Amino acid sequence: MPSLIQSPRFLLSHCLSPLPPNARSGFCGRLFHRSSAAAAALSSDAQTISSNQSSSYAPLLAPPSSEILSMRESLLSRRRTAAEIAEEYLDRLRRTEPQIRSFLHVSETVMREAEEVDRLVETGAELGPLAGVLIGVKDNICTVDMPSTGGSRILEGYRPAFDATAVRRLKEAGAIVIGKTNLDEFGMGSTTEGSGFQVTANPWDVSRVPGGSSGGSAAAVSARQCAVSLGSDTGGSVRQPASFCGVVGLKPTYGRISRFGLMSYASSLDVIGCFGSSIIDAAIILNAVAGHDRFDATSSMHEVPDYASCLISIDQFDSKPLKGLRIGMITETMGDGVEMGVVSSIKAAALHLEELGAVLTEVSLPSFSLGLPAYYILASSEASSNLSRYDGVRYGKQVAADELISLYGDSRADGFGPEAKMRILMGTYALSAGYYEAYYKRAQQVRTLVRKSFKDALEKNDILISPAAPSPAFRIGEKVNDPLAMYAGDIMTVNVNLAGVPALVVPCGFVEGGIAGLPVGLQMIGTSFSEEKLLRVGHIFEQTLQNHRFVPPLLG
Amino acid sequence: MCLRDPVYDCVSDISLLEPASPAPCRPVCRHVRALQVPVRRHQAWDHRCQLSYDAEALRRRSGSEAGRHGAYDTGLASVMKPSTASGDDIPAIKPLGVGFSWDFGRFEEAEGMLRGVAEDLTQQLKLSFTVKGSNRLSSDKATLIRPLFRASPPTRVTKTARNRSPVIKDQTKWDACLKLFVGGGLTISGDQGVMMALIYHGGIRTNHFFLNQSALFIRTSSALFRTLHASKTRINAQAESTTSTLKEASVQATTKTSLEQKILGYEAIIGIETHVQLLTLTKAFCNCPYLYGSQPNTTVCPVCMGHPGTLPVLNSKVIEFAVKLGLALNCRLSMTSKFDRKQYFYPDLPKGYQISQFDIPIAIKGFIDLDLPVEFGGGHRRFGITRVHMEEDAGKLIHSETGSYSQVDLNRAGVPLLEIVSEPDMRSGLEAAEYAAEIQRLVRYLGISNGNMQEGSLRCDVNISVRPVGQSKFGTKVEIKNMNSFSAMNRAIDYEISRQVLLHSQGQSDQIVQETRLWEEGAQKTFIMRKKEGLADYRYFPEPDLPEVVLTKDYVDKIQQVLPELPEAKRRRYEKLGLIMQDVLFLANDNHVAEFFDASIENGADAKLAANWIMGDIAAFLKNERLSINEIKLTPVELSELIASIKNGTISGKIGKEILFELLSKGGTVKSLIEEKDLVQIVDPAAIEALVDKVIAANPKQLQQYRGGKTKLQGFFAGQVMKESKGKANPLVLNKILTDKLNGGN
Repeated sequence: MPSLIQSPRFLLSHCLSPLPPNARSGFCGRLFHRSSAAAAALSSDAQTISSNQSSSYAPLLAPPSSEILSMRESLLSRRRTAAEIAEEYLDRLRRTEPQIRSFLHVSETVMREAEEVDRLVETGAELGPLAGVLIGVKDNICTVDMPSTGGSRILEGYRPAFDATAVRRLKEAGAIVIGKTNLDEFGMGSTTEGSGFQVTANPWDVSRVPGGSSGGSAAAVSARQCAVSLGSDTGGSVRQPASFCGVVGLKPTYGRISRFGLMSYASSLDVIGCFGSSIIDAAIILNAVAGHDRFDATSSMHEVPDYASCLISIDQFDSKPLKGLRIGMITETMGDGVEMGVVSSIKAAALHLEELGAVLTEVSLPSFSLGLPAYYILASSEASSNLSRYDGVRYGKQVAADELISLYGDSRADGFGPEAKMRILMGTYALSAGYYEAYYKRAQQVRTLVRKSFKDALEKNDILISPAAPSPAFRIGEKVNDPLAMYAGDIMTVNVNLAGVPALVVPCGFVEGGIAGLPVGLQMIGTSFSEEKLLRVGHIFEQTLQNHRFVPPLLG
Repeated sequence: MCLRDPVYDCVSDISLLEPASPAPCRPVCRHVRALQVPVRRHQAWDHRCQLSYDAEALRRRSGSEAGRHGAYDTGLASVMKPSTASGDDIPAIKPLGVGFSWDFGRFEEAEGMLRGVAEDLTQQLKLSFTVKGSNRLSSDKATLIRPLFRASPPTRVTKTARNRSPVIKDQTKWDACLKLFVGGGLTISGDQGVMMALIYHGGIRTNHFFLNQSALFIRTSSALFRTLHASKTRINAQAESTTSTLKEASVQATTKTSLEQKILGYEAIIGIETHVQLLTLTKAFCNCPYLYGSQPNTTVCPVCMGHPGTLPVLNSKVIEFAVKLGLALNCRLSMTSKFDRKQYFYPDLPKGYQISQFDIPIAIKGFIDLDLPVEFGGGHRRFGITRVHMEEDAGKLIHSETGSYSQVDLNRAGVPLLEIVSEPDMRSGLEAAEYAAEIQRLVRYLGISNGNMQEGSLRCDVNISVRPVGQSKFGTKVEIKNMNSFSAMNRAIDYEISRQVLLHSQGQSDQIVQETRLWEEGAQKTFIMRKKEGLADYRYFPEPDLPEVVLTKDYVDKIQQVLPELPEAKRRRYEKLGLIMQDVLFLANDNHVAEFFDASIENGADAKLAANWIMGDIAAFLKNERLSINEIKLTPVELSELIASIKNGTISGKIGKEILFELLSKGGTVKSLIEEKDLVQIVDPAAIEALVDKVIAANPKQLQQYRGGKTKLQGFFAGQVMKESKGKANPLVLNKILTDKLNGGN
């Protein structure tokens, strides 16, 4: 039995250690071509692993294994076909979707694309690093062959003419887009209750929200409806649902991933992020999508390291793998307004990191609480501007009218949901003459303060930790009537967006609630373009975390 | 030059879209939908205002003036249909009825939330964070909301409202609030009708080229025709304009004198905003080409159509051109400049905002020098330039023949523009027109625009106010649009000045209101287009999708080095060559002509002679053949050769003219033509003497008459000799020998 637990990591150690850093292109390809011999040598073991993993999420308290790598291994060793794997995911999707409702659209071509991958396997052609991997894409990210609505009725049935750069890169790496996941309208919300179409349920307890706005993407990965997924993070929209659904969520540095094809909500804050059930999966996805894009002037030319190959597997490190790592716990995130269960989970996680050799200190970010109002002013202002293109003239919802003013007014009144309208109102107000200085300008000044305080704190510390949300998943409808409480829930995450730095959420514990408890995520924040470090620490943390298994009871 | 992210400080190389590269996305024709909205209750509302200048009617209609914020479609007015409806043709939006109560609860909630947020900031920052005008919204709410009520409330909204959230109990309330803000140029301060600006178009209609082609046919084909035609005539325009100035001169001269009498005791203050469309290969923020006269909606892509998820990427040529113009206008360049969003709603503005520059334009505080035409008394002028900024153009609305709907053509959307704002330094229509002409020369010299007013590549909006001489306060400013030529500008401005002076002198200066007026070529008058109530609020804020542009000294220096000689410098140089002002202005007017002239004198041609040839026979030829100077076969080298040949006596001036036309139409060299046709001037006295003898011998009767005292006959003999020599005899030598022979007897 222990060997079974170790095996995925064993495979990994073979794969990862011999690779030189920055061998980004075709890393996975070479990886498994090289290691397939080793895998074959261990075939009896491997056989057990794969059956073990594919059939059910065995009642082992094993650290999460990489869906992508195990799938790739099965493909290359010809144990399973991509079609079989796709069928398995689609089955699970069909079984769980009536309860979870995480998808707004499911692709009809998944099986055909999977068979295509199988043909490639048969011909022995080089497979892309994500060959056959089923990926869910948040519906505010454009896909050429599927509707992309941004969760808004105003874009009902809208089919973009192009793939978002991130989606294009995933497809080029061989991934299959399984469908478009639900979200709060244009990413404005923290529960998916703001979706124009449906409310997604949390796989851990279907009476609770999955978080948002990327709730559909998080729930789909949590319920294993897809292997990995793309989300977007403007004020915590990847990290908070990752925490609520017990999956890994990565919000990269602003500009790390091209925003081309992401429907803009707040342009200076938006980033595309990724979800996976393990750190390795998130790293592999980031590998595929990161990098400069000529269609996004704000995308960074910063070099893209090989995020997956820098991960260290458990049998490569000693008992203190994080020795010397300076970790700062943000004081402001552990005080009032944060649920006890969450605080104790985070404290336990901090202790665990200390046990691994890290030096833990408490840091105070005096500008922390300023971030929330500044965020809401900036995000609403930009949103009010970004949403003005939805006027019903060129595409999207159009209400028949006999005058231009009614065409605009009625199309927008009909198309936008209440939250979008609220933010358009707030943003318009904040940008109006005479208010600009008081709101927008001031918020920008706060933003500078926030950036500076993060910079200072990250000079003294390697990473900062905090909860990803002040509470675990709450009940559907619980906060609908209290938008300010809803907004306050973003306190843990918005500052990171204002500062533009990367943050990673790793499931770290449970609090009481639901059938099997509700997951809590640990947020790790690093300096700009330090995703590599965050993933490495997250990976060590994930592998050494004892007695936790983040597979929702729904799949039990 | 590099781009810098203002928030995150990342610096990257500038993204280049200029080189031909694969289009970013597939054409999005399938998303261009056909939409036709019949107009039942509403017609071109403000055209009625144009029919007569009626201040009272204006006041009655205050708050419902139609028009468009920041519209510069010069074609707009000509296609606006006059209303045929009677008095019941009122705008669909009625003022709030008496006794109507409105619950602002939710709106206040939004406001309150913001104020709460602001107070949070204040407390935590320990800064004085005054929420400006906290009562402002409440007090203005009535006026804000008022124009948004309909005679019949929109039932559709409530019907289809999917009110899943219990918070918003009254959907219509929200929608009304929303519509407030939907209206783009929202003025918190007034009831200017928010989007009323938009309503005169009745409806809109996006159109793809294969849809409803018949409806479009007349318009597009004529536009196309005009383009083809224009591209030909344009080249001549310059050559022609000089000749035509003379014609116009008399017209203008008469206007001028009458105007001068009219405005005695008053002074006009004129400032001009000029939009220059740049000659880049691709649009400002995407890599669509722009070709004037293309079929509607054929040079579009998701980016310039404002599709969800698209982002602008700056065309670096736009910066280069802006820097060129900034330097040419003697401006101070902003080494770091940023883009801003100017927000308003209009169907030809796909994104709902225009990418422009607000508080940090690329160039500020410059000036332009020009010489007024000699016909108008001449004189040198220097006009201040306030700023030059970069922005993108909007699309075009094409109005249907029936006036019941409009169509949107987004070909022009996203084409780069430079807006040049002048100081209010001009005092007459002539000065303003000459300023615009100088801008046109400048952009053509720089090669950054074709400067064609007919195609809308150069558009001028003029602000005019009049005040009594001696008064330091400016009068009320009126804006004039829709002038398609410099002479129209001149006339429009002079008309407007006299209109305003008349009102002043009649003690009705209060009737001069801040408004936009259109110049109607047919009526030779300006008509009101819309009234401006306070400043429209465009809610400018920094464009977050584009990094700041950081110029380096090196980059600017390099551009400075390659700047061509500009019109002003050219004129001063030509003056020094000894040319008279009229010649100077003619030659420097067109950069191709100037280049031709410069090349000729570089080859040793005498400046005055070269100028005469170019302005005389060559210009006449160009005009007849409708060609531009760089289309003819004559090269500057040959012109200087020709001039030299005449000067040194190889050929006569008469022969020179013949050769010139040969060179213009067929090309070749002066030398070969002279040899080929044996045109070398006869300077040998013996040869001429022989000819003279021959002629005298052939005309004994005339000789007798001559000797009888009729000495005028010398001309006859000279002519005969010239004829005999096929025009090749040197006239000086000929005359000398002829006189000798005729008088010498024997």
